[in-house]
Amino acid sequence: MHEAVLGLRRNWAVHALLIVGALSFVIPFYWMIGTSLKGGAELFETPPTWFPRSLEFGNYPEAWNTVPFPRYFANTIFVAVSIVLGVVVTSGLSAFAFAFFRFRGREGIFNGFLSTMMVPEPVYIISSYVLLYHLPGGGRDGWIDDYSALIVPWLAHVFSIFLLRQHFLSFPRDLVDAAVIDGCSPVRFLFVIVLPLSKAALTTVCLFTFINTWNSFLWPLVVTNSDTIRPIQVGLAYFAQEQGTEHGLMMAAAVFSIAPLLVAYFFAQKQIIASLTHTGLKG
Amino acid sequence: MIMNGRSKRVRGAALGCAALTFASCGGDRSAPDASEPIRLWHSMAGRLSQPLDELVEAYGQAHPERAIESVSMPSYEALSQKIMAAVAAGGPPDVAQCYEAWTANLIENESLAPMDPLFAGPNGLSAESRADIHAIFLEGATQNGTVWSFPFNKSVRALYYNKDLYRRVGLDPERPPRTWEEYRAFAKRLTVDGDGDGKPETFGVASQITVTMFENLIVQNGGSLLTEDETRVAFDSPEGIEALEFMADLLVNDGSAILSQGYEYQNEFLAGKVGMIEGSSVSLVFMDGKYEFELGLAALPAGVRDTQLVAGTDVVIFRTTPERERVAWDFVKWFTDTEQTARWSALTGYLPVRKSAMTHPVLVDKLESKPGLGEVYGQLERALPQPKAPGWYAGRTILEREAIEPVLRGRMQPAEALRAAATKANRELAGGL
Repeated sequence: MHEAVLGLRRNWAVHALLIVGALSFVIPFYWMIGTSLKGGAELFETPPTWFPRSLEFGNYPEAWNTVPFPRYFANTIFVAVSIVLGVVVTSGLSAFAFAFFRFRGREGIFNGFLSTMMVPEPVYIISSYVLLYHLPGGGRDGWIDDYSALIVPWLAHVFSIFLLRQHFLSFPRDLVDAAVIDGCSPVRFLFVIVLPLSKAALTTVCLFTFINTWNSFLWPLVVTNSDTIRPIQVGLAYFAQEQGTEHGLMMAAAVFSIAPLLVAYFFAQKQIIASLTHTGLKG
Repeated sequence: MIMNGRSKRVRGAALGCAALTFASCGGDRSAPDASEPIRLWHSMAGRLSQPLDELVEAYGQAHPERAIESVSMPSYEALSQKIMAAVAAGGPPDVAQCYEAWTANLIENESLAPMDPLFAGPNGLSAESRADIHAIFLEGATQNGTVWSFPFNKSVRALYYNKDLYRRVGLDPERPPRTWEEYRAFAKRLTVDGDGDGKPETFGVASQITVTMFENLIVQNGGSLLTEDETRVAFDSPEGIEALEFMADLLVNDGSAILSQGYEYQNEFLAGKVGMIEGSSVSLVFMDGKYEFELGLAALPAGVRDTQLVAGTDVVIFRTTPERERVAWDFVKWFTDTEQTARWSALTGYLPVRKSAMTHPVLVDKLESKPGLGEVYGQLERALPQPKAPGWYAGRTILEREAIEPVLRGRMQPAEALRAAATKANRELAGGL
């Protein structure tokens, strides 16, 4: 009896903590939705109102119609899915090589890969632009203002390689040895043993890549000219200007632009948690 | 580990791929011919993009044979990156918005078409037409005796105030502060702690931590940001130190100001919690419909001198082909003609490029509907151009981060902060490309 009460109390403490934690994640979302439903002067009232006095749904159609969002959505989904597919293939194969092959310079190459993660975007953005401009094919400006400029440079992703390699390295030696002794070829080993055992890590790679692509702003803006191929973040930037931000419209646009991410996350949640606890990368 | 034997083949394949990529890199692309649309790269978004798009469309209707392709980059940072990248790649746009300090770099690498030959050409500017353009704009666009850019979206700073709060503390709502000393005194009166809990409910002023206010205070105090030949900074002068001391008193020591990192200060003002803010003439269109008090609009308070620096960007025309440059100029000329510049100004709050626009019915109506706006626009007559030294873009950031911010955060004293920032900014001016 006594123990049960103690347990219950501890449960309460744990739950109280979890609720506080959960609130800190939920409140920004609530705030975003709440703000998107406020109109005019209520946006800036102090103290701010927790519940919009009157629900103004007008921000949604206005935001949706001010910027070509349907097109931006389609572009972002197309680009993100292409990149995710590419990243899974390239990072799967290279992580496989880094984890299971022994070749000269392996550590050097891997460290070289990792070091590129430290190079900030502004450093390479101009030289990458110049390279794409001079690539054959495409229109008047080479690959600039083409989907290829949005997709191809991102088909390899170092963090994904790192994540998968760490995961592959955690495989027990016995498993690898058994496969070799049984005469399993590297390709078969990859497809029959490694990949099926890495679903969680692969899901994480997919989701991270998807979110990164979804959120990318400066690169797509610099390498595109046409509204017809621009992604969703460019649409959001439209409402945040130097001379003033359209908070209501911006929040409405933010709500529908993150909706797909939330849906993706709900579906992949279990896998992500599994892979993060597995790789020791606790978030 | 296992599986060694294949490494060579893998390596070979990788090298092959790399070689293929580089071998297929073509040479320079040939310049676009005259049939390609003229490209205009700009940073107008939100409430500013629609007026621009409308005007671009009107130009297209008037000149069906000359298409203009307007590319919006809703961030000046992205626009600057894109211009630099496109110039480096050899494929610049035809026309782009440009800050003075970017122009200097572009002149240096010979990417720009000078304006003077276009002014003098068959579709040029008559002496009369040229005299109609505010002299300060052309002065700002001139470097080493040559005009390199053309005024496009120029703005001035303005004083916005809450007339309801003025009435509540017994200030005359039709009598905004005319000097900074008055501004400071009004700010103290507008700071009211009604319930006596030590925390005011309304504040006199709100401001962003920004170098802009300092820039105007120093020129009003008789100082300047750079020396006359623009080779060194001059902001650590006694006038500059005095200006920053005043700013610290006003925004920190008096306890009558709300300071924000970004543009949140505008929200505090719109919420009716703050008596006065200093903002751009363009801020007005962003405030529309977001406040529930009587808004007052006036010229910026004066110091020893009644002046300020003109803000905003010019457009430049890039070197392409003579034919394309002519069409690009035709668009710029059309856009800044009396009719268009009056419409543009009425819709955005940017200043009209031409004096004659002030009597255009569209602008006359606008100025009548917004009391105080005429006074704000009138400040242009007394304004000064921005510095043009290429190193100043970086130097200005140093001034903001290493002097203005630490002083307003109470970490440094004005004199030492300005001196330290001056040393660093001088290095930018000396080595700035």
